[in-house]
Amino acid sequence: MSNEIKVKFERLILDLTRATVEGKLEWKIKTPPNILSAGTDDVILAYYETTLKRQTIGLFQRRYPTFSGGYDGLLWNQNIVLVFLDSTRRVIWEYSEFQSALYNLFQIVRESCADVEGILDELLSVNKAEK
Amino acid sequence: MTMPAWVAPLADVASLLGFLITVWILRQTTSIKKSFALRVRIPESRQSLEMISSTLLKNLHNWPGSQSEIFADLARAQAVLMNLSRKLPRKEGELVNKLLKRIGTPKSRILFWKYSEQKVASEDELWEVYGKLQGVIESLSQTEQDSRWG
Repeated sequence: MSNEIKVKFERLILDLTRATVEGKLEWKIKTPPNILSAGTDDVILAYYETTLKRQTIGLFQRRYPTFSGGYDGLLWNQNIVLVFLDSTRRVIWEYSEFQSALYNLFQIVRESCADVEGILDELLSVNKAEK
Repeated sequence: MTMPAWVAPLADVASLLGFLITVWILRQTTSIKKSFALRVRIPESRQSLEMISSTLLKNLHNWPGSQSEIFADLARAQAVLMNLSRKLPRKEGELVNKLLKRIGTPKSRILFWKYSEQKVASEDELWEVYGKLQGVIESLSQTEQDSRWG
């Protein structure tokens, strides 16, 4: 991947982060395309999708086994991956560098989709009503 | 019994050679020490910056209500970056110094350090700093991987 494309990906991740924080971009939890884990031992923990300027973008957390010489066995690693999908949900590009920024983006997407605050408010209001 | 005439010049040469070897060993030792210090400190500093960037992002969510928390995040980032800037190789150090300058860099005086005020005030500037901070974290991550093979 050329340096120019890497820089553009970094800009895109920051733009997606800002748009998500400002509530201008809506992500939805979805079933990941099969091709992302077919033929591998990879596990996809959570997969989210959004559409920006007619381009579908996926974001997911992947756990994958890697061989560790030190332990002489398999260890599980994880990373966050950004993917571009075409109109038939085929994966056309994967990007998994710039991990810190991707991880932060993933965290805010997960929080916004889970609506943790809403769930907590709901549960706490039931508790109060029961009292 | 008198020494042969060639012994004295040989002793001079051996002495000079010994001095050069001592200097070379000193340089190697300093380099190894620095390399080990970097191998330990870079991951720690990177993790601190990752945590700060994550908190900064959460606080940006509540801007401008979270202004004081954001300035605290920036002050923490400033401290970690200043500590790092003296330890890093030149290229990575420049990136860190640029970010420090953006946040508000300390000004050197002859005997004391004078800390300038934080320069970041608007939301756009905060997002710019967040982006640059991510760039520094990525750069540290690459240096960390390089140091495993150095």
